[in-house]
Amino acid sequence: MKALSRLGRVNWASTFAIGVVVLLVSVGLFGQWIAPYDPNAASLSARLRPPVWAAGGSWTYPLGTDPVGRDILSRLIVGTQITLAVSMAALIVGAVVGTALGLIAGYFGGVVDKVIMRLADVAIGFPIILFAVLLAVVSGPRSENIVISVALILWSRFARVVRAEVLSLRERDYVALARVSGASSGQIIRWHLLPNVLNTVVVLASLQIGFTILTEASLSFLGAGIPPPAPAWGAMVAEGRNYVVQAWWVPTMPGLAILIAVLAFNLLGDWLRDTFDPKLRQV
Amino acid sequence: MIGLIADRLLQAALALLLLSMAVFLLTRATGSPLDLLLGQNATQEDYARLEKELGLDKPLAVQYGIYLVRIVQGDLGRSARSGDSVSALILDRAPASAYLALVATLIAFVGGVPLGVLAAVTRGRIWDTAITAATVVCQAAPSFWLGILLIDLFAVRLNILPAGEFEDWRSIVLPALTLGLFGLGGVVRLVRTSMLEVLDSEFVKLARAKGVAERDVVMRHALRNAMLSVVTYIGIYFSILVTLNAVVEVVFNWPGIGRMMFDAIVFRDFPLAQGMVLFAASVTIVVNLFVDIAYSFLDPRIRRQ
Amino acid sequence: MSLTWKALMAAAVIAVAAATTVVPHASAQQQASLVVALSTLGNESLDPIGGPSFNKQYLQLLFDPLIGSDPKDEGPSKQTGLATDWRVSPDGKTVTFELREGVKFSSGDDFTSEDVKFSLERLGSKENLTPFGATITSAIEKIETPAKNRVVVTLKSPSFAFLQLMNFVASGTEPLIVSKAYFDKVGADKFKTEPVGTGPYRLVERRAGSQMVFEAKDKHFAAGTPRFKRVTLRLIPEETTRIAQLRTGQVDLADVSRETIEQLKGAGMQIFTKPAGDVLMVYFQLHNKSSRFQNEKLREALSLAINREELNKFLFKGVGQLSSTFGAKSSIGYQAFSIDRYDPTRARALLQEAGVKPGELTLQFQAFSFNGWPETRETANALASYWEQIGVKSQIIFRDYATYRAEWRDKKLPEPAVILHPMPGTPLPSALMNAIVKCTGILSIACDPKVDSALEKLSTAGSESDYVSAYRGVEKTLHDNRYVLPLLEAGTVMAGNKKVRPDYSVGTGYLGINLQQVYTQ
Repeated sequence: MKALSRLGRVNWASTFAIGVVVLLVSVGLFGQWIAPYDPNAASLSARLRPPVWAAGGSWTYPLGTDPVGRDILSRLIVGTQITLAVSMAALIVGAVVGTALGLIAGYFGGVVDKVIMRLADVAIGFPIILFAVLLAVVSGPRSENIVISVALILWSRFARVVRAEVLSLRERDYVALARVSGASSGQIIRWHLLPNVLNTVVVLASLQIGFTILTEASLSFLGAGIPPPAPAWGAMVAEGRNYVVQAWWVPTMPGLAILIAVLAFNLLGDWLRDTFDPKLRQV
Repeated sequence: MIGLIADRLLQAALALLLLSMAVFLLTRATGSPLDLLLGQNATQEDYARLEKELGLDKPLAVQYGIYLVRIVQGDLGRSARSGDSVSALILDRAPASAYLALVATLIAFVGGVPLGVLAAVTRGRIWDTAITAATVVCQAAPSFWLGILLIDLFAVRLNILPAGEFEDWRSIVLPALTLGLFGLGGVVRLVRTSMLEVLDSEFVKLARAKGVAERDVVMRHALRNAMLSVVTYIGIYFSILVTLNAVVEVVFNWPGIGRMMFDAIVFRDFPLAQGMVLFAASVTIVVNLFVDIAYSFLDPRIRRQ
Repeated sequence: MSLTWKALMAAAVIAVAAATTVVPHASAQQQASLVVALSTLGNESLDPIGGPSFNKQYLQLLFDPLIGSDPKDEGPSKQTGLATDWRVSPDGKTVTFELREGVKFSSGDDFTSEDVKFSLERLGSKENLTPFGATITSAIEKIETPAKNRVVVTLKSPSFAFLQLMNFVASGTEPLIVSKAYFDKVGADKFKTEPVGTGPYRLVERRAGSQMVFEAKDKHFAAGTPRFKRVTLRLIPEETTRIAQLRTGQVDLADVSRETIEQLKGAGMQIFTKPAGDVLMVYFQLHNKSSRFQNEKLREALSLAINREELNKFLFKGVGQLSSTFGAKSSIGYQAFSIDRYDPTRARALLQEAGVKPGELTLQFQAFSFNGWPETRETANALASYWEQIGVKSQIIFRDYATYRAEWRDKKLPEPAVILHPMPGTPLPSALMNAIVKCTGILSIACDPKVDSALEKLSTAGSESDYVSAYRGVEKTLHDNRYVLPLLEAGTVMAGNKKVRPDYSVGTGYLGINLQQVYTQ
C-alpha cells in the first residue's frame, strides 16, 4: 500500500477499485478451477434455491440457483472470463487501430489527417447498437459481433487523443533530430512517438473498460451477443428477468456483478487518470 | 462562422453517405441480398421483381445508385416478417420513442444541472460526496437491470405504477426514469468538473478578491462554462440514448423503435433492421450537426473566428 | 394512421353514448373492452393462408370456419359455422354443404358459395403457406357451386379426414372463409393488410409487433352481440411484464407458465387450463441424408440422457404427462408406447458406439416462443445440460417461431440441428404428419418409405377404423426408430381476472387458445 500511495492519492474509492479489479482478473484467469460447479450443469430438483442469507438458503449454493438449477455463483465466475475476454478483445482492437490511426494522422497531417479525423468524428457519435443489430441479423448472435461493434466506436476515442499528443511531440527536438539523421517516418513513429503516447493510451484504455463491459452486457441482453447456455452476465439477466417476482436473486445477482465490475473499472480509470495523466480530464 | 456551418453540413452529408455505403456493402457482402431482403413468405415472383428493382444484374456502383435513390425517396423496403412498409413502421413507432427520449432527457438535464452545481459549490462536503457517489453508481448500473428492479418494486410489489406499455402519463414514469438516470449521472459529473475548473482558476480568484459576490461568480462564470460542456455532451448523450433506449423499451414493452430493433434481431428481419439503422443513424447525425452549430454560437472563442 | 385514429375516436364516442343512453337495451351486457396478452402473435399475417396457423388465434375474431365448433365441447356444430348442414354421399366421395344465408362480410358483400370455392382453392395456390393446405386440396377432385347457398365438393377418394379439417379444432386457419368479391375488388395487397371476414369483430387498429385492436360488429349469427365491444390482443413476450400487467389490471387474460399458477391464484386470478395437451418434442433434420442424426444410436443416446420425469416434476410442476407419441392423448386412435428411461451411463456408451467423442459435437439447438409454452426457454437450457453431461455441447438459438419455420421450410437450418417444438394437440394429427414426417412434406423432418406408405393409407381411409389402424402404424414407426423424441404432454394455462367468464374453456383445438368462448355471451 505504501508503494501505491507514493503513486497517487489513494482513497477508499481507489482501494475498493483496485481490490475488485484484482479479484475480477484472478477470477477471470482461474475461474474454471475456482467455480464450485460446472456452470452449465442443471439440477432441476435444486432449481430456484435462494442465496445463503435469505430464508431457505444454504452454503451449498451461496448465491442461489437459476430456473434450471444451475449454480449462480459458478455461472458468474465463469461469466467473468467471458465478459473480460470479450471486453478486452474489443478494447485491444479499438486501442491498437485507434492509436495507429492517431499516430498516422498526427505525424503526417494534411489530407490523411483530415480524412481520419472526419471518420473519427462520425464514429464517435454513432450509436453502436445499430451496427451490432445489423451484424446479429445477418450472421446470428456471436461474440465477434460485439468485439467488432464496440471496437468501431472505441478507435475514434483513441485516435483523437493520440493525434493531439503527437501534434505536440512532433515539434520536439529529438524528433527533429531523428528526422535530420535520416530515420524513416516508420522508424520515427515506432521508436520516438509510440513510446511517448503509450502512457496516455493505457490510461485512456482503463477509462473505457467500464463502458465496454456495460455495452457488452446490453448487447448480450438484447440477444446480439454470445448464445446461451454460455453464462454471459447480460444474457443471464435477460434469461432471469422472468423470475424477478418469485426469485429476485436470479436477475439481481448478474446485474450486481455488472454494476460492481463497471463501478470498479470506472473508479480505477478515474484514479489512474488523476494520477498519471490529468490532462485527459476533458476526454 | 458561415464557413464553419457549411463545413459541418458537408461533414454530416459525408457521414450519411458513408453510412449508406456501409449498409449497402453489408447486404451485398453476404452473397444473397435477395434472401436477406425478402420475407419468409416470399414467392418466386417476389424474387424476380425485387431482383429487377435492385438492378442486381448491373455493376455494383449502379446498384448503389439505385439503392441511394430509393432511400432518398423514403423507400426502405418491406419488412421480411410482416410485409409492411419499413418507413411506415418506423414513422408509426417513432413518436413513442421520441416521447420517451424527451422525458428521459428532461430528467437527465433538468435534474442533472442543479445537482452538479450543488455538488460543485459544496465540494468536499457531505452533499458533494453523496451526489458524486450516487452518480457513479448511476453510471455503472445496467439500465436493463435497473428497469426490471423498478418494475418489480413499483408495479408488482407496491402496485402504484403501470409495468410498461404506452397508455397514460403514469406509464412514462418508470421507463423514463430508467433511461434518464444514466444520462443524469453523466450530466452531474460534467457540470461539477467544469464548474470546479472555473472556480479554481486564477481569474475567479481575482474576481473574488475584488469583492464580486460568490453568487455572481458561480452563476456568471462557472455555470456558463459548465453549460458549454453540457452542450457538447448532448451529442455523445444522444448516441448513448439510442443504445439504452432499445434496452429500456424491451424491458417495458414500450412500442417504439428500440423494441422494434429487438424484434428485428429475434425475427432476423433484415430490411427492418436496415431501415432502422439508417433512420436512427441519420437522426443522430442531424442531432450532432445541431449541437456543433449551437456550440459555435455559444462559445465566444469560436464565434469570434 | 389518421383513419384508424378517427375510427378509434368514433368508437370511443359511440361507446360512451351507448353506455350513457341505451343502458336498458341488449348491449347492456356488453362490456367495453378486454385485453388479452400473448407471448407471440405469430407472423401477424392477416391472411388465413399467409403462414403457419400456430400462434394466430387472432384470426378467430375476424373469420368464421366452414364448419363451426360447439363453444362448450368444441365438437362440430351446425350453429356456429358458415355451413348449416352437410351430407356425405353413400360412396363417400361427394360432400354437400348447405350454407348460411343472410351473412355479410364486413365489406358489405354477401357471403355465397363462390366464397367457399374461392377460399378452398386458395389453399392449393402458390401463396398458400399453411401446413394442411396441401392435405386438403390434394383430396379434392372438384368444387361446384350449384346455388348461392350450396357447395358440392367431390373427393378423389373417400376421406375421413376431409370433413374434420373443415373445422379449426382439427386444422388451423385453413377452413376460414374469405370474400372473393372483396379480393376481386381490392387486389392481393390490400386483401392481406385490410382483412374482411364474416367474424364477430373487425380490425380497427394494428401496430405491427405490438398489438391488434378489434371492434365488435352489432350482431353475429353465432355469437349474438359479442361480450366485449373492443378486444385487444397485445404481444408481450416477457412473462414478467405479462404477469405484472395482469396484476395492475392493464391486461385481463394472458398465457402463463405452469409454475406461476399458485402465485396467481393467490393474487385472486382465475386459472384456466386446456384439458387436451400439446406434445413437447425434440426432433432432427432426418430428411437430410448427411445429418449426423441418421445414426440411430446417437438419437437414442440423446433420448436416454433426458430425465423426463425430472423435467415434468420440477419445470412443469407435475402438470404434464410423459408422452411417447407424435399425437396427443386427444388424438383419434391414440395409443401409448414405451418411454425411454433416464440412463446417462447407457447414453454415454451409445454415444461411443455411434463414434462421437465427448466434447466433439456442438448441437445447433433451435428453440422458440410459443403461446401456452412459456417454459420452452428453461426446457432448452435443461436439455442442453442433460446432453452436456454425456459430453454433447449445445448452442441454444432462441427466437420466434415464424422465423424458425421459414428456415425449417427452406431446409436452411444449420447442422447439426436439434429442435425443441411444442406440437399442438389435435384430434387429427394425420394432417400435421403429412406436413412434417412425410418425405415430401412442406416441413419434412424425416423420410422413411414405411412412414410414407402408412400415411398414404391414412389419407385415403374412408372409415374411422381404417383411419385408426393406419394412424397407429405411423406412430409405431416414428416411435421404434426414434424419428421424433416426445418428452411430455401438457395443456396451455391461461390466467384471467373477473372480466373473463368463470366457465371459460381454453379449448382443445389446433389453434391452441380458443377466443370464441371469450367473446360469446
